[in-house]
Parts: sequence; structure tokens; C-alpha cells
Amino acid sequence: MDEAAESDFDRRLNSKQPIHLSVKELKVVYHTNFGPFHAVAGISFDVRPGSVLGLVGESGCGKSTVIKALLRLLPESSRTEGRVLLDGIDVLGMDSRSLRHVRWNQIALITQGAMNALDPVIRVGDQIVESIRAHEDVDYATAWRRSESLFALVGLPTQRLREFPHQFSGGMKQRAVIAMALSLNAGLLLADEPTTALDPIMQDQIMSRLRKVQDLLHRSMILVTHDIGLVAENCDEVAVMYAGQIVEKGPVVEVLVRPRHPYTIGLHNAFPRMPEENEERPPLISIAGSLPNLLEPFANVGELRLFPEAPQLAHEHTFVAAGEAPPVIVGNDCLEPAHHVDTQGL
Amino acid sequence: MLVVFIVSTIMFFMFRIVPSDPTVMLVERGISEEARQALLERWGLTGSLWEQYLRYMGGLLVGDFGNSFFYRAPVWDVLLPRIVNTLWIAVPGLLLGALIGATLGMVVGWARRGGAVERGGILIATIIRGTPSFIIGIALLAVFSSWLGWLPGFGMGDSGGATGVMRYLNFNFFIHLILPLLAVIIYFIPENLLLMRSGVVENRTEDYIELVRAKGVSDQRVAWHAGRNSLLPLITWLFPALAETIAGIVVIEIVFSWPGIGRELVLAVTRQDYPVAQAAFFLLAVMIVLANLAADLTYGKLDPRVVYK
Ligand SMILES: Nc1ncnc2c1ncn2[C@@H]1O[C@H](COP(=O)(O)OP(=O)(O)OP(=O)(O)O)[C@@H](O)[C@H]1O
Ligand SMILES: [Mg+2]
Repeated sequence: MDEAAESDFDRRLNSKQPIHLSVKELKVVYHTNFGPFHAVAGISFDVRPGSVLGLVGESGCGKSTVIKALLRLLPESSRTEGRVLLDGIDVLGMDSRSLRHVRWNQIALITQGAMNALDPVIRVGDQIVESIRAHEDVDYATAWRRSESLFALVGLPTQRLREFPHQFSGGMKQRAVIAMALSLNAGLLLADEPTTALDPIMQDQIMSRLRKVQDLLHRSMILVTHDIGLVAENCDEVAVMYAGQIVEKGPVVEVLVRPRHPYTIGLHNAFPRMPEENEERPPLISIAGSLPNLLEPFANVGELRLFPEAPQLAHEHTFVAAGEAPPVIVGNDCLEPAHHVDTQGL
Repeated sequence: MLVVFIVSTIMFFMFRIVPSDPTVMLVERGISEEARQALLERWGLTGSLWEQYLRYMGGLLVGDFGNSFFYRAPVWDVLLPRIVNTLWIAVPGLLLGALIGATLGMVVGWARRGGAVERGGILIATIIRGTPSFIIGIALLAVFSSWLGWLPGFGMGDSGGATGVMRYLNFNFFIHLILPLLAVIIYFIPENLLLMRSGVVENRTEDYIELVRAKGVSDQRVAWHAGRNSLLPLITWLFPALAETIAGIVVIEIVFSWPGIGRELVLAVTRQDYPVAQAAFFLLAVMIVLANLAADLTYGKLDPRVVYK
């Protein structure tokens, strides 16, 4: 980055503070041909300014739905309820002009760039310029220079701004998507599985790049992933989702070291680890059963989920009767048994 | 190139197969046998079929279509002004039709799924697309020419002695131009509209559209992204359909008595004026080939993923 670009960067950095996100009772229903589908069933969480929340859970549990709901990107065939407060201002109730202002200016999105997150027929640089000029009254050349400094920030050569997405490798596209997300220095970054489609080495590079950016910019962030390892390395807090609900949340250290909820334990154990020397290879545990049917809210939750391989749980199987929500565990210091049902959080 | 060659060959033999002797129709009765032979020779109708064919193809190579039986003039002189007349309705007609059709298609594709705009748009476009071009032409004639009496619907108006470019740059010509041009536009809109719509509908659920929306640009701008990407399938589909479109324009020329190459072609066939008919077919084939070439080139411009080596 040259000096002018750097000072431009500093100025913008100081102009925006990280955002406090507070989500309350968020519910999302997709209207499908088979009836209403309760993808997110009333969840609440906070992201403190400058902190990183990991959102984990198995495929289809509603993570992306939550992310899209925060930016109101869900299809017309869905209904969203609850409150999404950005420093106290509700996004869900906002008119479309204010919403446009919130998008990218305050909340930026990092999607799976390796797939087709970028418009295939527009130069990558012009797509970044578009995001800048949609919100700031700057001329094309200024916006282009900022795109150059953003590319430098994510470690891409600036000439490649002139290229089209198909000329980029998956990892480069992912970096370009990250660069674009940083274009307005939004106070909240939503990263939805930013590394899933990449090979492990590239994953690692992207994540360390993201960490560097985070160290530099101190944005508030939600990191959606399947990868417990990424959560451990990158997040301050973690929320575990299961079937449209948050079943456990708290500081990363506590939740990962001593998971309480049966699903978290299952997730934890399902993640392969290198055995220590002389140590017996820990068994890889798969999660039994399949996702409950969410067309009927809470009908079968917990019924099918047994974790016989998790000995910690042998004495406290968590069953939830049909029609009831699964238990929610908040924090980890609580001495309550795992089957405690926290109706407060539902 | 091959296409043009095949078309002209087929044309040649098709007209020879028709079992009639043009001299019977065109040459005055009672003409002496020598005079008839001389005429046949001038028209390239002497010798075996094979010789005639070689002479004809040889002529094509140097751009010589021979002489018209009917006009008794070189085919070029007959067809050139007709081609210009056709281009006057075809080029602006197809361009405007594509532009309007694609824009409307974007609006309909971006409208709420299952809403009034989408349903109405598809319905109207489908009805017009199913309507033969002569019905469109006759409907326009009936309303604007016969009923309201606003616009003329026959020919291109009196030249008033003007020649060259001035033949076209006058008020009289323009008011004659409106209805046939309108017919071409209306005829061409639905195809564009429907293709564009399906492209936009497909694209609006793509991941990149979600990211564009997340960027907080205006809704029109998001629709523009979807439309821009839909241009590619539109163009690939559209140009192969051009032959059919040209057939539609021929019909429109006849309905409005527009002295273009299509109308001339039909007249030449009924007059058994082979050289003109062959040349007209030949030129239409060339136009279609050129249009396809143009399609390939625009496609390369529009889609950065296409690389010509
Ligand atoms: N537009 C939609 N209409 C109907 N159902 C949907 C729609 N989008 C998502 N769903 C359903 O909602 C549930 C949650 O989907 P979501 O994409 O949020 O899952 P996810 O946790 O992000 O999964 P993954 O880890 O695979 O990305 C899934 O069962 C999915 O089938
Ligand atoms: Mg997802």
C-alpha cells in the first residue's frame, strides 16, 4: 500500500466503530410447497463490538438463513420475525432506503467466493468499485485506487483487478470477495463458510489473512463454519446451532473444552484429531440420526439423537419430548445438568 | 461460406426443376426461332443443365447474377435499391425490437414471481409470438390506415423525383415507413422478451445476485446485473432464429407493399424470373450468414470467458 492509500485507509478505519449486534427472538419461516418450514426457530445472541462469534452446526441447521436474515436477503417466500439490532437500531423494521444504507456500509458479507459469488461478466475491480460508489460519492478513479489498496491488503496483485472472475483461482476469488467486504470498512462482517470449497492449505492462508485483517481493523464478526478447529483459532465466542435453534453458546474455551450439550459433544467428537504419540487413536464418532423434520416445529427434536459413543453422556441422555424445544445451555459455568431446559432463551 | 454455396446450388436446381419454359411466358409470341435462341443465350439458358450451372456459379463468384427476364436489366440494378429498402425496415426494426423486447423481458423477469406483471407479460408475449406476421401487419393497417386514417399503409410514397439519399430523407417516406417498421418491431419483441425473461429468472437466484443485493445498490442496478448476464443466452438463441425472422419480414413487406428484397423475391418467383429469385435467395442467405458472424463476434464481446484464438 502506498502512503496516500494508507492514510485513506486509516481515515476510514477511524471513521467507523465496530458494531454491537444484538439478535432477539429471530424466527425465519420458509413457505414451501409442503407447508411452512421453520428454518430458524427464535434465536437470540449478541456480538460484542470487535469480537468474533463462531456459528457452528451441521449442514441444514439454518446458519446461512440466520446470516441472510441479518441483511434481509431472504427470498420473498419467507417470513422473518424478531429483532436485529445494530447498535440498537432494528434492521428488520427499516424502510428500503435505510436498509440500502445498512447493507455494506454497516454490514458486509463474505460468501463462499470460490463458488459463483462474483458476477462472471464484470471485471473484479469494477465489482469492488460498484460497492464503493453505491454508498460514497467518489469518482471512479478514487474508488479504483481504493480497490487497489484493498487487493494489496488481502495479498492479491493489483493488476488482477482488471481481470474477470473466471481468470481467478478459487483462493484468489475468495480473497477478492474478502477485499470487497472490506471496501467500506463496515462495522460488522458476516463470513459464511469463507473457506469451505478450498483445499486445506488455501483454507489456512485465507483464514490467517482474515485474522490479520481482523487484528488490523477490529471489526465485529460472525464466522459460520463446520470446522471446530477454525472456531478455536478465530473466535471469542461460539454459538452451536441445531435444527434452527441455538443449543449452546458461550466463550469458545468453555464450550469447546467442556461441551455440555449432547449435540456439541457429538460435533466435538466428530472432528478428527491427530493422536498424541503412544496414544490410542481416538474413535471418530459420527452423529446418530438425522435432522428432525422442521415442517412441524419441534415435533421430533431429540427423539432420534442418541450419542452412545459419548461416555460422558451415558448417564444423562437428553431426550426432549415431541412438541418441546431442545435444551439450551448458556455459558458453561452453570452447574445445571445438560438436560436443563432454558425456556428463557427460546 | 459453405452454407452460401449449398444454398445457391439448391436454388439453381430448384428453379430448373420447375417444368416450365420462361421464354413461353416472357417472350412475345410469334418471335422467330433465331431471335428466341438469341434471347435464351443472353439469359444463360442455352447448353446443358451442367453448363448452365457452371456459368451461373462462375457468375456468382464475380458478383454477376445475370439479367432479369422481367425487367430486362442486370439483376444487381434491380435488387440493389430493393435491398436498401429492406434494410430501412429490417435494421431499425430488429434493433428496436431487440432493445424493447429485452428491456421488457428484464422488467417481467424481475417482477414478483407469480404476480400480475409476470403473468400478464408472459401471456401477451406468447399471444403475439403465436400470431403470424401478416396478421400483425393487417391489424396495424386496419387500425391506423383504414380506421383512423392516420398513416399510409401502401408502398414507400411518391419519390417526387428525388433520387439518391434524398429519396429516403423526406417526410413522405418517413410516414410510409412507420407502419411496416412498427410491424417488424412488434413481430420481433416477444421472442426477445421471453428469452430475456427466462434468463433473468434463472439468474436472479444465482449467488452473485445475492452478493450484489448485499452491497446495497439500487434494485434497478441488481436487475441490470441479472439482465447483463442474460444477454448471453439471448444472443445464442436469437441469431439461429434469424432465418425465421427474415421470413416474417418478407411477409410484412408484402402486406405493406414495401418494395424490398423479400417482396421482390416472391414476385420474381411468380414471374419465373429465375435470375432475380436466385439472387434474392442468395443475398438473403448471405445476410443470415453475416448475422450469425455478427452474433459470434458480439458474444465474444459480451462474454469475457469466450476467447478467439
Ligand atoms: N429458499 C428456501 N426455501 C425453503 N427452504 C429453504 C430455503 N433456503 C434454505 N432452506 C432450508 O432451510 C434449512 C436451513 O438452510 P441453511 O442454508 O440456512 O443451512 P446451513 O446451516 O447454512 O447449511 P450448510 O452448512 O449446508 O450451508 C435447510 O434445511 C434448507 O433446506
Ligand atoms: Mg450455509
